[in-house]
Parts: sequence; structure tokens; C-alpha cells
Amino acid sequence: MTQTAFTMLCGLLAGATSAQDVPLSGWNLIIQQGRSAQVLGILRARLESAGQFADVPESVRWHLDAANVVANKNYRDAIVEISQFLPVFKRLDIPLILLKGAAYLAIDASFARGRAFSDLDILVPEPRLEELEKALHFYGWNSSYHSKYDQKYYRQWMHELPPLKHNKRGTVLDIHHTILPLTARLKPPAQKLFDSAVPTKKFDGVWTLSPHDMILHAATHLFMDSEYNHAFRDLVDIDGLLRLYSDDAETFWQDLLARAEEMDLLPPLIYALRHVRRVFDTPVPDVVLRDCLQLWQPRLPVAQMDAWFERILRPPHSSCDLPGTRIAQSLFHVRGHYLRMPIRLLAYHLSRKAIVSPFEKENTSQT
Amino acid sequence: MIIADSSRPELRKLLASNGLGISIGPFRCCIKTKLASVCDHLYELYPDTEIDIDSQFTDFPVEVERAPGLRRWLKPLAEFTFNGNVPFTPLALDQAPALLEWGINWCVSAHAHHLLVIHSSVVEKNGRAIIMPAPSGSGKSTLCAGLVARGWRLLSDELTLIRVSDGQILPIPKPISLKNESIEIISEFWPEAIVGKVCKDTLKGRVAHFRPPAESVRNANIPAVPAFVIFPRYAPSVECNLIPKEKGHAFMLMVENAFNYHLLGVEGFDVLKSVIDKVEVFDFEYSSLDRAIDEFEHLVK
Repeated sequence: MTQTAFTMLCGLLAGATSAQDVPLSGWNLIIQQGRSAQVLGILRARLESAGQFADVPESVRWHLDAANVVANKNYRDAIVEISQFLPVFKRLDIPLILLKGAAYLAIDASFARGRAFSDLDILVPEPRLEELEKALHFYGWNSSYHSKYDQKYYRQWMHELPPLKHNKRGTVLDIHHTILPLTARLKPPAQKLFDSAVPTKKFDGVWTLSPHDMILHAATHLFMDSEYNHAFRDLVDIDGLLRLYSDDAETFWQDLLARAEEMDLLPPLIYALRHVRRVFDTPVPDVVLRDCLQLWQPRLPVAQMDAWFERILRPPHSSCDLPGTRIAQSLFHVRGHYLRMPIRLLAYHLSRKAIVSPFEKENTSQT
Repeated sequence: MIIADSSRPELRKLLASNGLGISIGPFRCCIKTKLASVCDHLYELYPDTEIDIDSQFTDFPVEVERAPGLRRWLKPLAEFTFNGNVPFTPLALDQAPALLEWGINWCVSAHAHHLLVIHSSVVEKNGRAIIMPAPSGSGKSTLCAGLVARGWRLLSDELTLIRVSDGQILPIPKPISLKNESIEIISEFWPEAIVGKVCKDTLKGRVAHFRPPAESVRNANIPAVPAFVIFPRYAPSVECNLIPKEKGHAFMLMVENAFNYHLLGVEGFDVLKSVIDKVEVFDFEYSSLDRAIDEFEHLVK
């Protein structure tokens, strides 16, 4: 673990630091950074299961308790929504495949206990989208994006439908049909995700991606995106997934690299492995990191890419900013867009968004 | 050491450097500002508040400063920062003191989910607290200020903090915020009150803050036991009417006025039920403050 302004937070999350060794004043930054990164609920769950929650100074504890209240609420809501979906999916004979936070919940992953999440993400085969959307509409799920252009943007170019919002419960549902925009440079074959999905033990009829694909998806979500305000929490997820599954089979790491190659997702995986190890001391073997670079290398020297990522993979709190963090965020915002769409399409999209969309909004608000 | 023990320049210096650490109800805040208006506000309205000299842990690190950017030359704005982030849009610079007050209220209502937080005034006399939940404009703060002017303990004019473990109320006695004509009504009713600078043209109209009684501030760490839930409504033409209310309805109205009932789940239900079970509940219409206070005095005898 390299020394940073948020080493204590990382140490507590990874179990390398114990709560009793943190002086009262040390909790200021831990709570502030943890709040910005939305990991206080996770921190509480981990301290609790390590038997260290009682070592947290009394005046600090309520911050963790309050985060736990929110996480429990998210958990209850997710269970309710899943139980609402199940009959719809069963009737249409579509497997309900959960992604991200909801998936971790469905496999009862200990690393994700206390994790807050707002949207539910699911994966559905592309040919079944229309049918499913109609059925969900009947149950009160409506598209929250109304402009024709937004609809076209999602449906023609993206990897998900425009988010659906439930008209009574207000919960938001993201329906994905693959894990990267259709226009992105990397082209993971979506069918393979479905072929290796696994049923959960906890809910009959609920599926998740295979362990390897869950890791690849989390890495893709983090390293191919244009927004990095959830970066730190995404990294916590990847660390958790790797620790959870890497002992399952001796060939885990080779299999993971092979799968990444097969899915055309080597670049995000390689960055993920390098940076979780740097930040959380995740037990990624040296040989794996070396093998990775045999398979793929970025156009810029990898050390340079690491230095850029190091500037943005941190809690979004002023105490964590390094010189260059702001520049890195802007650059990687552009990079995220560049990776999602070919330049000409991107230029069209951004200018359309900048010039036409503001007028469209005015019109709809008048009517 | 309380704020009144320091001089205005000393306070100014502290606010502009390491920040002023104070306890506001059960929370420790660290306030930073270079704005003289905010310093004056604190000096005049928080004199009895204890300064935490070597508090090692802060719940809410907040700042109120001029907003950066080009607009500052056209229309100077004040910006509230919590935890290094700016949670709401900046306001006109002369509203900076009100921004601090609203900002701290937001810190509590958006984060203190270990408590059931109700949008409601709450006052206490003879060990019996009266919770007054009501929407803005119903006159709850005016009534609250009137009662406090006549010697009731201020627990809060905005936020009723109910401890989930035992249903007791944790006081958070901040300056009482009054709007528009209430400012004159209470200034007349309570001539010795200390009033902060009136902020004009806020979203809520004119706003002024009234200094809470020293004793309420000193006793901020003593919880209170709820005895009544009363839904006040100012109505110019009515006599004073205290109308018994059905408890189920009162429960639902408390839920409507709660910031975080929906997050707390079973715990929230249980604690709110225990409170409603124990208290008496009324609707209350009033036009004269004096008559209203008499009625309340009678209740807590």
C-alpha cells in the first residue's frame, strides 16, 4: 500500500489498520473522505465483522451508524424491487440478471455489506428489450428521458435503455444489454456474458454474471467511464471481488486474463489489477501483472498512465487531491467520451447536446 | 470559554484561520469564514455557546465564503461548503448569515440518520416538551419564539431530534429564524430580544434570527421528554382553539414532516409509535400570542 492522504481509510477498509490504532483526530479525515466516497456503510460493516466497531470512539460512531441506516434502506428497497420483477421476468421467460450493487447483494458478498447504491442495474438480451420494456411499463416503470434525441442516443448507440423510473416508488432501473456502448472501441461479445451467467442461491430465478465477468464488468465500468466520482468505491468493489474469488481455483488468475482477452476487455482489467494492488494491497501476484503487459500495453508508457490514474482514483474530497488531479479529471472526462464513440459521432453528439438540447428543454417545460 | 468571553476581533481571527469549533446541540461544528457579516452573526447570536478549544473530532466542518468565479464582480455571492463540497447554489452575499444557519440545518437533516429528525419546533416547560410540526407559514416558529420569550426552554425552532433508543428529544437550540411580518410581531412582543441583521429578498422573503436564551443554550445537553404533539395554525379571525386529534392521523402527519422516517424502517416506526402513544395530540388554532401562551402554560401545569 503506497502512502497517501487516505491511507488510513484504505487500511481500515482492507483490514490492514485496526480501529484502536487510529487516534481520535485521525477520524476527521476518515469520516470526511469516506462520506465523499460513499463507503462509510461498508466501513462500518467491515469494522463490525472484524469485531472492531467498539474500538471506534463514541463521538465518531454515529456517522457510521447513519451510513448503515441508508445502506439498510437500499438493501430493503432492492429486495422489494427484485421481488416485484421476478413474476414479470418469469412470465416472459427472461432470466433476471443483476449487475453491480444488486448482484453483490444477491450473492450475499461480505465485501459489499453496508454498500449504498441507488440504481438497480440489470442485463437483458437485446432481442427481448422491447417486450420487457412494455411489460415493465404496465407495472409502472416509465422512461425518465423524454426528448426524441435522448431516446435515440440511448437506443442506437448506448449499451443500456434510457433509465426507467417507477411512478410510485421512485426507484430507478437501468436495463443494459451489454457492458459497453455499441459505439465503443472495445467490442465485448454480449452473448458470452449470458452464456456463462450463474443462478444465485438466495433468490430463485435471479442470476448474476460469472465471477470473472463481474470483475471485468466492474473494471470496465471504472476505467472506461468519463465520470470518476465513484472511482474509489468502484475500486473497493474490485478489491472485494478479487479477494472473494481468487482463492476459488489455482488457475483463477490465468482464467481471468484469458476471459479478459476473449471479451476484448484486457485494458480495463490491467488497469484495475495494477491500481487495486497499489491502493488496497490486494493480493494480485507479480507474475500476473507482468503477464498482463505481455498481452496488452497502452500507447503511452504504462507508468505514465498509472500516474494519471493515481490522480483520479481517490475519494472525491479536497484532502485527497494531488497536484494535477483537476487536470486529470478533465482529461479523463474527454478520454471517457473518446472511448465511447468514434470522434465524428462524438462531435455530432456533443454539439447537438450543446446547441439544440437547451431549446428542447425550454419547449418541453412550457408545454 | 464561551463566545462572549472572546472579543469580536479575536473571533474574526479564529474564524478566518483554524475555524471556530462549537457544539451545536449534539453536534460539533467547525466554522470557517472570512466574512465579517457571518462573524457578527455568530458574535451576536451565539454568545453563550461554548468554544471547543481542543476538540479533536468535528462532525460538520463547514465554510461560508465568497463564491469564486467571474460572477463575483457582477453580483457577489456567498457559498456554503460542507466536507469540501458545495451542496447548494450560492446566495447573494448579504444573505451569508442565513446561509450558515440553513447550511447547518441541512448538515443535520441530511446526515443524522441515527436520530429521527422531524421538521418541527419544540419547546419545553416543567419537564414536558411540546412538539409542533407544521409546514412553513403556519406560524410554528412565531409561536415557538413567543413561548421562548415567556421563559420556555428552546429545544429547537426547526429540527426535532428524536433519539431512536428511547424516544427522548435531543435539544439543538440555534437562533430562531423568523420571516416577514413575524419579525415585527416578535420584536414587539419580546422587546429585550437580540435580533441579527435582517436578510432581505431571500427565497422565503425577509428573514431575521433571534438569539436563544442563555439557559436553553447551557442546557443543550439535557434531553427532554415529549409530552404533547400540537399542530399549530395561525388564523387571524379565530379564538384560541385546542382541538383533540386522533393519534393515527397525528402519526401520519409526523411522518410527513420527518426528514428521514423513510430511511429508518422498523426503528423509525417503533420510536415514533412510542412517542405518539405517550403524548397527547391536538390541533391548535390561534390569533393572539398571549392567549396561545396561556393555553400552553395551562397544558404543562
